[in-house]
Amino acid sequence: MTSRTVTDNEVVAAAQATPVTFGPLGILRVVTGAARAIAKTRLQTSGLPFYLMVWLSYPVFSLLLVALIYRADPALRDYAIIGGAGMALLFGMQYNAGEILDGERQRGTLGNLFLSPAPRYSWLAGFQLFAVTESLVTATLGVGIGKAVFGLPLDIAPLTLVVTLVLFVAAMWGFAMIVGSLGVAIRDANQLSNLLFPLMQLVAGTLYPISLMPGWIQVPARCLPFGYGIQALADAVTSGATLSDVSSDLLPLAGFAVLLPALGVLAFRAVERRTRRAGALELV
Amino acid sequence: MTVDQLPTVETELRPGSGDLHLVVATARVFLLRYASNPIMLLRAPLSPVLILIGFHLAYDVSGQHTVGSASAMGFLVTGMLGTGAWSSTVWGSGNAIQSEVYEGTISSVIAAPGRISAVITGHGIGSIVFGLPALLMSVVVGLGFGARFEVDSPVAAALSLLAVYVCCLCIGLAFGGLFVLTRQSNAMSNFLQAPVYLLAGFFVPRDALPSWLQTVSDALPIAHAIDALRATTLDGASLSDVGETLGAAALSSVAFLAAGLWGLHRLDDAVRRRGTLDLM
Repeated sequence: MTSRTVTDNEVVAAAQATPVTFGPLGILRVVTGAARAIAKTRLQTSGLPFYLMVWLSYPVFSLLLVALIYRADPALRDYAIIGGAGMALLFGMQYNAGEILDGERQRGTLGNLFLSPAPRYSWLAGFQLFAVTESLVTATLGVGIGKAVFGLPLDIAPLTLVVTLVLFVAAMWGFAMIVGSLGVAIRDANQLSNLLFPLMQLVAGTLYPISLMPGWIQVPARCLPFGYGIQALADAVTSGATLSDVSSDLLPLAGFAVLLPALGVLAFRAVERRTRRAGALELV
Repeated sequence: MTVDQLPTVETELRPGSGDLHLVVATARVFLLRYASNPIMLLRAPLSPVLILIGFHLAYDVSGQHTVGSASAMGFLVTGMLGTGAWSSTVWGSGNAIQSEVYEGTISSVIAAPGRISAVITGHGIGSIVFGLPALLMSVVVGLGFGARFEVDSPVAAALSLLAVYVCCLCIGLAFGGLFVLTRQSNAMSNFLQAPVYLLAGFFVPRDALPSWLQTVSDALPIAHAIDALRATTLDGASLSDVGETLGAAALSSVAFLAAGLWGLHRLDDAVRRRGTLDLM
């Protein structure tokens, strides 16, 4: 095989070349490919038993804990079971957002991802697809255990549930992107998630509805999407609530579902610009 | 010659002053490492307080202002102290070896004549010391939210608090070998947290557990130590009142400690012979 020296002009021309375009199918392939790659990485890194242990133990034991705390109050117990499912979504998406990007950097593959011709949001969406799938499975399992062990009364309104889930996941995706971007910027996404999660748990209404919280917590709780989402989820799953029944929760949630993803994308772009300028993307 | 036929590597250093120095040095390095991380400095006192307030509100909204004869917040503060001790153990002792691998210092740890158990204990103690401000914050916030303490015998209360930490370290050492062998200490740490919160009665009284779970709970030294801490700090129990409970904590701790030291001693020799500890 012969080799030749690449001239400066060729390098410039290559950099200015029209970028490869991806059609919808191509993007879909990147999304599913990224999700599959993350799933495989998780399983290969920890093995199936340890993977299951980590992702199931916290939601399951938290469920048992709240069920025992509310053992004399079935209404609060039922709410907290659904709140636990909401918390599983919150937990999964928040930790995955930053941790996956941090992991890519630690393995030295984040730079390759940024240099690949695929649209940035396609592989990011793939990472989040994995997070959402994983979280939804955990949440469903939590509700199933609640039904089987604690007799959680199920009266599901499918349309309300789907609309709530879509808005809730969109809002949380945006929030997770903001936190994840910050985590990547400070190179410690996991610790940042650990710092923020107890605060979110306190105001998210996972253990009790916002309406029962003291006034001083209701103020920050009303400024975040989680409480609205969890209340709407609880009503959709246990009371068969229609869309109009939960409109007072869905309307603010819809606002967050638009605002937070936009802020998340802006935050991610800002972090990307900053790391490119500093040339520090791969620095661990 | 196969690996199993290789002679056992006997190190000269056995538990004694050398190991004590190693424990202190490891704890010091642990503290310096954590103190250099601003997020950890914020998180250490803040997270337990937020969790405490969360559980306080859960009890409050359900109208449970007392647990037994104690105030609900007092009950939760003592549970939070147990949570802090247990978290320190699983994330300090449990993650010790993986942490050394991550920092690139595992080769020095293995090559040195000190025992692995001393390094693991040092990590655990460092983690416990780092968590002490959180302990203080939990008490202060608890008092602010209406916790009532009744300490008639400070010595008994101090001994019970010490027992909580010693029990956690013994359980941590017992699981230490498993943490190292599985090479999944992060997963193990995550997994072991929540079940002990439940079984040791940190946030829910143990008599609320199903009877079969109470039997499992009785085997855990930390459960007895928390019982003693609650009796001495919330009900004004004396040392003689909690003697039996502390005895049960000591007895079960010794069993965990013996299993842990035996396992780590065998593991120490095995991993030195095979030279595979840093393969993660």
